[in-house]
Amino acid sequence: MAGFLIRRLLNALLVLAGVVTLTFCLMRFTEGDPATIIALDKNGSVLISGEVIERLAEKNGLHDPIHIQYLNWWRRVLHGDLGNSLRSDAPVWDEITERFPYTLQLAVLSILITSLIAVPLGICAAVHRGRLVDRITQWIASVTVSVPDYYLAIVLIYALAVKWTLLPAYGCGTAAHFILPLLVLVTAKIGYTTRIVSATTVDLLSSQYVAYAELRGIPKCRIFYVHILKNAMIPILTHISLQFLMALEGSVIVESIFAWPGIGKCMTDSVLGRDFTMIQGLVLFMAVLIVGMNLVVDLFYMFINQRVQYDGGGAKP
Amino acid sequence: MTLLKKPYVLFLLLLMVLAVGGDSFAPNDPFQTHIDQRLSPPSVDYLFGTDELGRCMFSRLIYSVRISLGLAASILVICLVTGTCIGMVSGYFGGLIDEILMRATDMIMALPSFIVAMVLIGALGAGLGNMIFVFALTGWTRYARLTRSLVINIRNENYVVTARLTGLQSFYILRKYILPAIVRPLIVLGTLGMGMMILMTSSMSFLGLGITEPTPDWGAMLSNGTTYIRTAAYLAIFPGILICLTVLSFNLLGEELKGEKK
Repeated sequence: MAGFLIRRLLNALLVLAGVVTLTFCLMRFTEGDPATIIALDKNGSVLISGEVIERLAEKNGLHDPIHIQYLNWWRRVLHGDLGNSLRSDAPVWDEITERFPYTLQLAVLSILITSLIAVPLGICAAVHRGRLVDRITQWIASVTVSVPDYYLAIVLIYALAVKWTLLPAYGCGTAAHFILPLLVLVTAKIGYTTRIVSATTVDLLSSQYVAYAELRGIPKCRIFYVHILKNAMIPILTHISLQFLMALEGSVIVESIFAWPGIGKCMTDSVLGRDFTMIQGLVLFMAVLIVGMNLVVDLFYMFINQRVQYDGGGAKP
Repeated sequence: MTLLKKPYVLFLLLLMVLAVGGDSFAPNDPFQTHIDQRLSPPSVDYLFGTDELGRCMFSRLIYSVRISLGLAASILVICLVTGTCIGMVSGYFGGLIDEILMRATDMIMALPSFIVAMVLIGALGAGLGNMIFVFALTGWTRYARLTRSLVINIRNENYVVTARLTGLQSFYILRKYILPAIVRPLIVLGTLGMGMMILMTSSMSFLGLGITEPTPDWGAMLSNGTTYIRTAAYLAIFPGILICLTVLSFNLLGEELKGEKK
């Protein structure tokens, strides 16, 4: 177990090191030389003298050999200095910490609401397998995974904000602003989550130890609450925590549509505006979040599910 | 041929005909602008109305089938081929190769593919070729995983062991004995993956990072339509319905194929 822990931590560090290297390469992937890009972004004109470009290159250390630049990038990352935005000149780190709470609000609320609806519904569908509830959830799942979230958002804006002007369509501030983005995020995930919950419960219902418990004459409701529900919680909780990562990904589209000032919107704006220092910072920030979250999920899984053997590598089927 | 009776299969066939036939089915030229008839609502001449430059929406939608479906399909084919090759090598040979390949797969799977694609598009620039590249870069992993587990299940079957004992080369065994046995589940996953790929590529175009004007693409047309949602909502509604129906059809077909296997 300790071996697994160490290997898991090393793996996480390796991924992070890879991300730092990749973000360094990002500027070099782009067409044209970095100093010109910075100059263009700062001044927004094509008519920039070579002198300005030269000065910018000097200031940003772009004349150093590539390995020195790489080491400098590492040093800055470790000191938490992600540079300044090419657009607004504000420090990237400040911008991220200012915007992240908005994304977190949406993510946490949407996961909470989804779970509150999907878990009881999924368990209900599993218990009444093949009946009306089951078939309805199946249909809801099929339809909701097929509707792109941006389309859902547009239809909702059209119906609730344009036609009937019930809710504000853009921005954030009041509680009413939360409704539309949350509606989109919850609808997009609810069908899928319900199916996962119901599939997990169905598996458990048909397992041998439940049959054995029935044979021993344990009352049905006790079997349900103690034997089934307790064991179903492990995969369900794992899935819900993984949804946090999906929420991060989903935030890009939803925040862009509803002009929600979180990091997803920031991402879209930076990519569209070719604000490369901002992109670097955001990618690093998200990578740390994702790696950390995966680590927590794995540790949680290991902790709660001690039946699993972590004998490392080998060709597991 | 019970599949042919399903409405979603017929719909997909229709889409394929439109993708191949494309422009010859369009009643008007999808690129021809009529500035005097801009944003006109659906009528007999323009079945789905016209956009802000007076281009026929119906013709543009028909023409866009080739672009949007073709893009998703080409990414999917690349992912399937790459993933299958990597998964077969990994599962069949095992050992160090397996370890390295699967570590790499795990690492890529841990990344949010849409954000990676977005950042790379930002660096490389928009366009069809770049779109295919950035989505293929992260998309192959699920096929590699599935292939690997399928290969591990059958690599010690009698017929494979016998083939190995008769001294056949590994490449020959993989191609002639293993590939045919695993192709079915891969097709199922591929069909389900097609829906997902359409969603991802159209989202990218929706954000203005994928296929851009004047080429008609579902996501780009929808994003364009949202600008006029107060005056001409049909511009956003029709492409959206088309995306939903297409993705739903692919998903239903995938589920159907998956059920048949059992």
